[in-house]
Amino acid sequence: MNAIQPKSEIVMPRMGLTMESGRFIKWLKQVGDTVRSGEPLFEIETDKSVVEVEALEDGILSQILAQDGETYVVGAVLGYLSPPGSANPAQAAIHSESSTPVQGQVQPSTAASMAAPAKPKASPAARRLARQLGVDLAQVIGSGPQGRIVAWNVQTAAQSISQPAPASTRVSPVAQRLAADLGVDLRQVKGSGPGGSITRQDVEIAYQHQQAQVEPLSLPPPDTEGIIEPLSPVQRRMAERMAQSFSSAPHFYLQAEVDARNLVALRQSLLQPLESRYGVHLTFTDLLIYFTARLLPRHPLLMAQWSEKGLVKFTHVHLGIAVDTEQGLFVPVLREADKLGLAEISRQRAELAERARQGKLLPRDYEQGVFTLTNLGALRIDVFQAILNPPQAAILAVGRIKERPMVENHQVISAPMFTLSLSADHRVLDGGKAARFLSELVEWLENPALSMA
Amino acid sequence: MSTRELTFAQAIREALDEELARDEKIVLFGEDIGAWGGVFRTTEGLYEKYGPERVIDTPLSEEGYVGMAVGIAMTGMHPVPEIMFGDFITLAMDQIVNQAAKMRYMTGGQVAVPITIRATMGGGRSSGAQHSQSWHAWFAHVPGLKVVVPSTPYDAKGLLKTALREPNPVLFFEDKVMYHKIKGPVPEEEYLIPFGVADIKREGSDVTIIALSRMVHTALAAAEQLAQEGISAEVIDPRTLTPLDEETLIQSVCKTGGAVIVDEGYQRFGVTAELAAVIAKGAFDYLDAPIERVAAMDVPIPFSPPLEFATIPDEARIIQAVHRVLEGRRPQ
Repeated sequence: MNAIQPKSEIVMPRMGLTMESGRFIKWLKQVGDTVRSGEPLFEIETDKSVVEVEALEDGILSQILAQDGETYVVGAVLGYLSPPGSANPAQAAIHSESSTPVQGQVQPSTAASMAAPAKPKASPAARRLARQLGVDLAQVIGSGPQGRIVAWNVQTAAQSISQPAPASTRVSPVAQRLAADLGVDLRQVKGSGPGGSITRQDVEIAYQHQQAQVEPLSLPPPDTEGIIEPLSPVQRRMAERMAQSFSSAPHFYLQAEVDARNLVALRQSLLQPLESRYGVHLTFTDLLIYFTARLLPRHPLLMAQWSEKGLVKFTHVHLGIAVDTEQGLFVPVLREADKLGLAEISRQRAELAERARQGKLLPRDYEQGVFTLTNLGALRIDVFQAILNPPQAAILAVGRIKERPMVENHQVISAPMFTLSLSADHRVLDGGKAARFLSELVEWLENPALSMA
Repeated sequence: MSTRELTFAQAIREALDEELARDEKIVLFGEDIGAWGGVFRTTEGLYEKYGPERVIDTPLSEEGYVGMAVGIAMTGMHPVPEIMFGDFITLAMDQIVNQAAKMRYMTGGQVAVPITIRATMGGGRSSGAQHSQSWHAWFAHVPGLKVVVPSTPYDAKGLLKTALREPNPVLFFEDKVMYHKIKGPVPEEEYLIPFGVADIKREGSDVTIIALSRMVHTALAAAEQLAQEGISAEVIDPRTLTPLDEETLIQSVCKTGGAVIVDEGYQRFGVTAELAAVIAKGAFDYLDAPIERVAAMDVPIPFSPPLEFATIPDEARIIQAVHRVLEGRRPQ
């Protein structure tokens, strides 16, 4: 090894939770330039946005490896910073023209100066766990700062490698036949039926899994961009349904602000009694379900669905609630929600959300929804527009309740407010009909007593 | 066991009272500790009870009375000099570091120095740069001294009584903000707390917060907020810096995988640095993120309250540090 001055790595940053790789656009500094911490150093492209990435420390840009336009995985070394005041022209001149991104890792061409390939960054705990579980850290994607591999990444990787085979489980005859047809190894299938028995659906899911995992085995050639992570059945289903919905249903969006003072007071007055009498914790979502479900029968088009033969209308208010889980998005359904009291709504909503999180929803828990409510308020989102949950014709997106300035009697006051965004299918209903529903809902939320009229 | 609530100051006073009654070799020294009862009321009533020969008012002369205390300690008494504002312990530095800490060693064990020096620490009272500092780390750096940094009335009483039976020099640091603000259960019955035993003030599983003195309360408040986010923080109070209960700290971090160390002293070369080194070595293979330190900013403590509160650790800074430790460490 040459005598190399101490230097620090410049790596592909993780700009969002889901980002696994990014496209390198260009350097904003030249080799030999002095860089101050916080100064823009290079540009990358993630999903749809181009982001300037700042230097994390002071130094001199001594070596650049990343090439414009190439894609690198999070944590890949893009170049090096030498300590300030250590400029070494010889060192600084190293600029690997031929460095090519391979599997996202940069291979420096100046092999002499960089004999060892860059090791993945991993916490000591992750390294210990990887040794214990026999996991190759090079195969693990890190979720820590700057792509550092942390312990749970290793745990997750280890779990995906070894799936314990259930000993002796019952298999329904249909499932048995399907497994034989599809070539699914029943020992690899997790049963979700009574007593862990394997159902037809389990085999289908396992088959999708198997199919999904076949593809990445043929590794992408070195020059393709990024690496492929197989889709889970939930991810695949979400992708298909949302693409279908967004491209086939002409969406339009209406937005309305809600003065939540009365709603907040209503919840406050009910919180304690519902807790002590029914043991439920009343949320704003529960109140929104309550009012929305009771209003929907007055606006039947909001619950209708498009078909080539004509509009399909429904009378039962089966209300879908979007639930964010580790496995992805689920929309369990509160059946005949307009007939349920608040305590029952709260209890069922909590139970369905919990089952969704545990991956224990049954088909009847999510089938036949006619309208969907989605609330990202708890995740600090103020306003958002949702994609329709097909084949439904309307979805209501609820933003965060927050104290905001409001004008009342020519005075600016502070009041809890939030924004409702209704997405609707223009094949089924038009702006006027959707607007009447939304404005009536706002009236009810602002003055709950009106819902009794 | 019957228990009542005492303030931090009352717990200190009670420990002094009980030990004065138990051992006539114990003598208190300090500025305004006698007839006036102490600026922070920690010696209230003791002058009346034990008289001017055992509760002795001194001039403003830290070097003088600490030196005198070291001298009488060498003759077998157990003096308890009080430094009203710990900042001015600098004036007695030679007596503490070059005399008290050295005697037992330099005389081959022939002379012991049983002295308990009580000093205040802590900012947040808008007292300015010379009345707000926390200098406990300095003494933890000196071989031959024991350093005690209690956080609760219970710990303060039990540890002070141990100090008053200790045959070696002890530096006992009391955060002045806690004297009247912190209340807690203290049993009526006598008890002692041994040095070198950390206390887990709150059990948790996701991250270890190590804090001492008043910062324990700040850490506990932060842990409470973190719990609302679903983060389970363990809060550990080492209680004494020398001797240090390394094992409890290391075991906790091995369990949680992450550490945030909080101290009101300065960060640079301070208590947080030493504890971080202990953990980095003992729990190395279990660390899932770099150790975070939250301490006073490396500037003289400002007089202006907004600036002062910006320099000393608070809940928000602890929570931010915990978030850095946990970044990407578990599924969202």
